[in-house]
Amino acid sequence: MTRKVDAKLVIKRMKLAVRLILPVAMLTLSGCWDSTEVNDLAIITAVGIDRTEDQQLELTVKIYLISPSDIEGSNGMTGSGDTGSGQSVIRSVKGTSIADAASRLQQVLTRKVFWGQAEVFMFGADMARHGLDEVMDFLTRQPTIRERANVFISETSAKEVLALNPPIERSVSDALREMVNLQTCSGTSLMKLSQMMSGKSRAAIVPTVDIIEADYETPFPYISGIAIVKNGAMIDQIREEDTLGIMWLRDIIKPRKTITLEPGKHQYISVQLIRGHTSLIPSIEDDRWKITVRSESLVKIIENTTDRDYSIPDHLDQLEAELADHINRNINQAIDLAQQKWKADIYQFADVFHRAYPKIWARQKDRWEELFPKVEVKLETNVIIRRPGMTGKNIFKPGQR
Amino acid sequence: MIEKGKISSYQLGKMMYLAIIPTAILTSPGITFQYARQDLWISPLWAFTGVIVVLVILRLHHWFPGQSFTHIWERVAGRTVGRTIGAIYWIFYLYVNGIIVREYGEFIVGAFLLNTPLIVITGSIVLVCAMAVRGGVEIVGRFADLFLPAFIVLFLLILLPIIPDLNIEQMLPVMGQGIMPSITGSFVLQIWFSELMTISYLLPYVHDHDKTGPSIWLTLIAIILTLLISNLFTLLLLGDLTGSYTFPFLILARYINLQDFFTHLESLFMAIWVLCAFVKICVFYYVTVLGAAQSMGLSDYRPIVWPLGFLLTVFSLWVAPNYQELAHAISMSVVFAMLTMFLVLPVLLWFIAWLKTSGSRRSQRSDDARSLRGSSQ
Amino acid sequence: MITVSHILSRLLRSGQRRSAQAEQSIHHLQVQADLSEELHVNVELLRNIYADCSDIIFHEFVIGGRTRAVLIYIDGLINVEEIDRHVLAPLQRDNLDEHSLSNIRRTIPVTSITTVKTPVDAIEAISNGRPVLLVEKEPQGLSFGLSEWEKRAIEEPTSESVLKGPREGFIESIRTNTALLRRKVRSPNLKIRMIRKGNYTRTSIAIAYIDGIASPALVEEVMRRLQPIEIDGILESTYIEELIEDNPFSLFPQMLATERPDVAAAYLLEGCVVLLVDGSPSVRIAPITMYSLLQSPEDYYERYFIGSAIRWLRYLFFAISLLGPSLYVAILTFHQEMIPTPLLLTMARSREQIPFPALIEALLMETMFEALREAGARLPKQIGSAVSIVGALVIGQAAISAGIVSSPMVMVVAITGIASFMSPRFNIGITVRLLRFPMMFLAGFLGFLGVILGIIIILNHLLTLRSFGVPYLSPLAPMRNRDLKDVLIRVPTRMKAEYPHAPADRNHERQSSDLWSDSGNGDDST
Repeated sequence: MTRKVDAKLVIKRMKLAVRLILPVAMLTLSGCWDSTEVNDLAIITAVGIDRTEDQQLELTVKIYLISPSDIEGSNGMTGSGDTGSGQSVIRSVKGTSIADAASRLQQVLTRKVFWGQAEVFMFGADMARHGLDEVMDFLTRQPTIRERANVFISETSAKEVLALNPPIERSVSDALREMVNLQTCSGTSLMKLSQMMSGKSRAAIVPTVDIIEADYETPFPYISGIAIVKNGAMIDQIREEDTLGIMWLRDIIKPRKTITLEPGKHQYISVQLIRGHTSLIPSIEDDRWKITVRSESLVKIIENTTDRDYSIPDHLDQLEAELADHINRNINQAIDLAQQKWKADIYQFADVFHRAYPKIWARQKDRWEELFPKVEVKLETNVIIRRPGMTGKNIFKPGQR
Repeated sequence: MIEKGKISSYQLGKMMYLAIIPTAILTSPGITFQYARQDLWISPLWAFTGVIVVLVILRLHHWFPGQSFTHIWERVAGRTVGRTIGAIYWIFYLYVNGIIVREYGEFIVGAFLLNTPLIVITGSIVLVCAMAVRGGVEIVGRFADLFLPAFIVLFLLILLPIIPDLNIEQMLPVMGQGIMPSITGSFVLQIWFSELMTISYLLPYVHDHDKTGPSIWLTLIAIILTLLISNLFTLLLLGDLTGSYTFPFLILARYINLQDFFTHLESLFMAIWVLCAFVKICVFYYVTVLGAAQSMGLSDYRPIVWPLGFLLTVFSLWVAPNYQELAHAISMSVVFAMLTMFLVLPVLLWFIAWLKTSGSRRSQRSDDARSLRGSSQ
Repeated sequence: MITVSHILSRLLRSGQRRSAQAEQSIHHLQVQADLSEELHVNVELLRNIYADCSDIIFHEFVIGGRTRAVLIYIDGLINVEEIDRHVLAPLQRDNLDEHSLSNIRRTIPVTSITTVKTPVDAIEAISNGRPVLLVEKEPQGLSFGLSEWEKRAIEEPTSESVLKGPREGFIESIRTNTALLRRKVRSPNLKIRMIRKGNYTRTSIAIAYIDGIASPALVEEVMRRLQPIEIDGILESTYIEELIEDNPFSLFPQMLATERPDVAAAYLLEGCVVLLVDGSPSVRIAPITMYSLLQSPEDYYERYFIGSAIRWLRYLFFAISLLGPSLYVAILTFHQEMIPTPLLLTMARSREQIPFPALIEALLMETMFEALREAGARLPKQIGSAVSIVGALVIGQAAISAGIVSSPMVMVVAITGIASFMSPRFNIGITVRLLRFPMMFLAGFLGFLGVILGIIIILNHLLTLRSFGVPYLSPLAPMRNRDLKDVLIRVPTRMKAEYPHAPADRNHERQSSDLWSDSGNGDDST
C-alpha cells in the first residue's frame, strides 16, 4: 500500500516540478527584453528644443553624468556626498522632425536614452513662434515622458539655457523646477499645456526663462515672464512685472505675492497676499456676453513708509480701496491685452461660458474668435487687510513722533 | 456534475466584479467621452443591459435551479438546439477571452514592457490562469476573495493622492446637452454590463441560493459606482483630453505626485490591472472549459484545461493583426456579437421559457415551473 | 505486535548464527509463547536476545534464601537506589511462606507493577526502562515502574523566547511533556492517546486533543494517517509530520511546530490536535492556517492594541522578506521612472562601478547572506559571533569598497534578512527565504509583472493547500468574516466568545456571552 502511495506521489511531484520549472525555464531561456541596468542609462533631466536657421529642429538633452573619477572608490559608503554642479553633459542633435532628432540622439550616446526622468522641457523662442503642435504631439504620445514635466519657453535658445550649470542646485532642471515651485509665477506642466492648447480657447500661457549674466557669478537662469501661445504658436511675451493681472484672471496667484503702492511721493506701502482667489461669473443677456471677475484677497501689511497710521480703521479702508483699484487696473490692462492685442482667450472664458450656457455655447462656439474681443468684463474686487503688522504707523519717521 | 466545488454567493459577486471592472476602467473613459463629453461619469448609471441580464438570468435560475445555461436551453428548446447553442457559447467565450488576453498583452507591452514579445506576456498569464482553473471554481472564487481587498486598496492608493490635482469645474456643465449624450455614451458600456451573463454558468455551483439575488445586485451597483468614480476622476484631471488618451486612467496613476517622492505610480496601476485581468481571464477561461466539457460530454474538465489554454493563447493572436484593428473591432462587430450572445439570446431563452411556463399554467392551472423542472430532472 | 516478533525472530536468527547451543534451546521456544516455568530457560532466551548488549544487567539473587530469581534491566534507564530499597531489600529479607508472584507483588512497595507474560512483554518492558523480575517456577514475571534516566531540566525554549508569559518548554521526555500539557488543561476531557511507531526505535507518539472541542472526524483522520506508518525509526517529530501531512511536496509547513506548552494548550482549546513524539521537545499541531505561522503567543499576552500592531508589523515584514529583493531588482532594472530623480541619480552613482547586473548582484548577496546565517547558526556560540562580525564586515564595508556590490543592495539584503527573522516560526521564515530566489528571477525577467505573476503562482499553491482539510488561507480565502477578527487584528479576549470555525467541531462558546452582552458575535454568514 505504501508503495502505491509513493508512486502517486512521485507522479505528483513530477507534475509539480514541470509546473514550476516550465514557466521559469520559459522565461529564462527567452531572455529579458526590457531590463536595463541603471548604470547603462543616459538619464535625461532636461530637454531643449530649438529651431535652427536651416529650418531643422535641434534637440538638446541634459544628461546626468556619473564619471568614474567622481566616485571615491575606496570610500564607497560616503561617496555620494558631493553632488554639486558640473556633473551633467549636453548632447545636441538635429533632425527634420522631433521624432527624427530623438532617434538620432541614441547615435551620439553610449548609453540607453531614458526619458522617464525628464522634468523640464524647454522650447526656444524661435521654435515657439513657429509652432509647438508638432512637438507636443510627440511629447504626449511617448509612454515614458512625464505628464507632470514643466514646460518653459526660453528667450534665448533652449540650448544655451540647458548648457548652464547653476551653482546651487544639482542641475539646471532642478533649478528651474524649484523656481517654479517657490516663485509667485505659476508653472505649466506638459499636460496643462496640452489641455490649454487643445481646449476650447486654444490659448495658453507658458513661463519664459532668461539668463542672468552677473559678472560676479556663473550665469544662471530665472523665470522672466509669461509667453502667450495661441493656436499652437507663441504670439507675444510679457515681463514678470506685468503678469499680475493675468495671474488674477487665471486664479493662479500665489500667496506671498507682494503689491507695492505709492500713495505719495516716495512714500510706499507694501502688502503681501495671504490668500487670493478669483472666480469668473458669466452671463449672457440678449446676445451680450458678460463676465464678472470677482476677486477676493486677504493681505497683510509688510512695509509702510507713508504717514498713515494703519491702526486706524479709516486708513485701512482707504488702503483697501486703493489696493482694489490697483488690482482692477492690472486686470483691466490684462484683459485689454488679451482682447485687443492678442485676441487670445488665455483666461479660458470659453470654458466658463460653456459651463454656464452649454446650449448657447453649442450654437455659438464657431463664432468664439469674433465674440471674445467683445466680451464685456465687469470687476468686483474685494481686498481685506487681515493683519496690519506688529506696528500701526511707521514709528521711525521723524514727523510721526 | 463535472464541477464538485462550491462557491458562495458573495464569492460569485466578487468574481464578477473583478471580471468586469479592469477592462472597463482601462478603456471605457476614452470611448465614453467621445459621446458623452463631460457627462461621461453619468453614463455608467444607464446600466440597462446589466439590469435586464441579471433579471433574466435570476428568473431563469429560479425556474431551473441548478441548471447551467446550456442545460436550460436543452430543456426549453430541445436537445439539438441546446447542444448547438452550448457549443457556440463556449467557442464564443474562447473568442472573447482571446480578445481579453490580447488587450491585456497589448496594454502591458504598450505601456510598460515595450520590447517584450507579446506572446511571452499573454502566454505567461494564460499559464498562470490555467493553474488556477485546474483548481476549479473554488480556487477562482478564493482568488476573488483575496484580490478584492487588494484591488480596493490599490484603487484608493491611486485615487486619494490625485485629489489635490483635480479640477471640479471640469465636470460642468452637468447634462449641458440634456440627458442624451450620457445615454449614447453608455452604449459601449453595455458590453461590460452584458458580461454579467456569465453568472449563468456559475450559479449552479453556488451553495447559498438565498443570498444570490442580493449579492448579484450589489455587484451591479458596485460596478456602476466604481465606473462612475473612475470616470469622474479621469474627467476631473484630464478634462477635454480624456478622449485623446488610449488609457486615460493610466495617466491618472502617472500623474500622482506626493511630496516629490511617490511619483509615477503607474506600476501600481499595472498591479491592479494584472490582478483583475487574472481574475477576468480565469472566469472566462473557466466558463470556456466548463462549457466545452459539458458540450463534449466529458466527465472531468481538467484534461482539456491545457489544450484550451494553448488555443486561448493562439486565439489571442488571431483576433486581430494589431491593436488598432482590435480597438476598431471592439467598438464595432464585437459590441454586436457580445450583445447578441450575452443579452439577446438570454432574453430570448427567457421569453421561450416564459411562453412555455405560462402555457403549462394555462393547461394545468397549477404550479407551472415545477412541472417543467420535474421534466428536466 | 507483528513487527516486534519480526524483529525478535531476526534477532534470534542472528543469535543462532553465533551459538549453536542457543540454537538448540531457542528452536523449542517461540517468543510469542508464554514464559517458561524454568527460570534458566527464560534467562537463556533473554540472554540470547540481548547478546552483545553490554548495558543489560541480569541480576541473579535468591528470594528469602530459597527461590532463585533474576532481575533484568538496562543500566542507566532505571533508578538503582529505588530498586535496591523497594525491590531487592524486601525480597531478600522476606519471610513469606510461599514465593508466588502474587505474594511477591504484595511485598514490594512500588505503585506501578505489571505482569509480564511473554518474552515479548518482557523485552518491551526492559526497553522502556522497567526492570523485569523473573522467579523460579513462575511462568510470569513482574515489571516495575522504576524507570529513570537522565533528562534535561525544563527550561525556556531558546527558539521561541518571549518577554512576557510562561517560560517553560517541552523536553525530550514524552511523559514530562504530557504532564506539562495536563498541567495547563486539567479537564478530563483532555485526551492523550498513545501509540508506538518505528520498527527499531519503538517511539511513543501521543495524540492529544480536547474531547468536545476537537472534531471527532479530525481526530479520526489523524489516527487514520498515523496507523499505516511503517518506518525504521522516528527521531524527531518532523519524521511524523512528513508522513502524515496533506501535501508532502509543499514548501509550506502544514503543521505547527512548537516547544511551548502554552502554545500547544492554546491550540488544544481551539480544537486542534497536538502530536507529541518521544525524544523530541518540539510538538506538532494540526490543523493550522497560514496565519498561525505568523502569530506569536506574545500577541495574546500583550495588550490587544500592541498585539494587533505587532501582528501587522509582522505581516508587513513577511511581505518584505518575500518581495524585498525582487521589488528592488524590478524597480531598478525595469521601472526607473518610479524612483524620484535625486534618488535615482544617487543609485546610478553607487552602481556605476559594479560589474554585475542588479539581478546577479541580488542573487550573490542573498546567497552570501544565507551562507553566513547558516554558518553562524551551526557553529558554537563563541565562534558564531565571530563569523557574524566577520560576515557583517565583509559584506557591509569591504564588498562595497571593493566595488562588488552597491550600498543600496546591501541595505535591501539586510532589511530582508531582518524581515525574515521577524516571523515567529522558523520554518515559515526559511520557506519564504527560499521562495525569494525564484521571485528574484521573475523580477529580473519581467519586472513588476513577473513579481505579480510569481505572487499569483504562490497564492495558487496556497489556495489549493489544505492542512487536515482546513484551507490554508482561511478565514481570508474562503472568506469567513467571523473568524477574521483573530487574523487581521488581535481582538480583546472578552470579544473572543466563540471558537474559530476552522478546526473546532461545534460552535461552542468560549466564555459565557451573558457576561459581556456586547461581545462581538460577528455576522453568521459562514
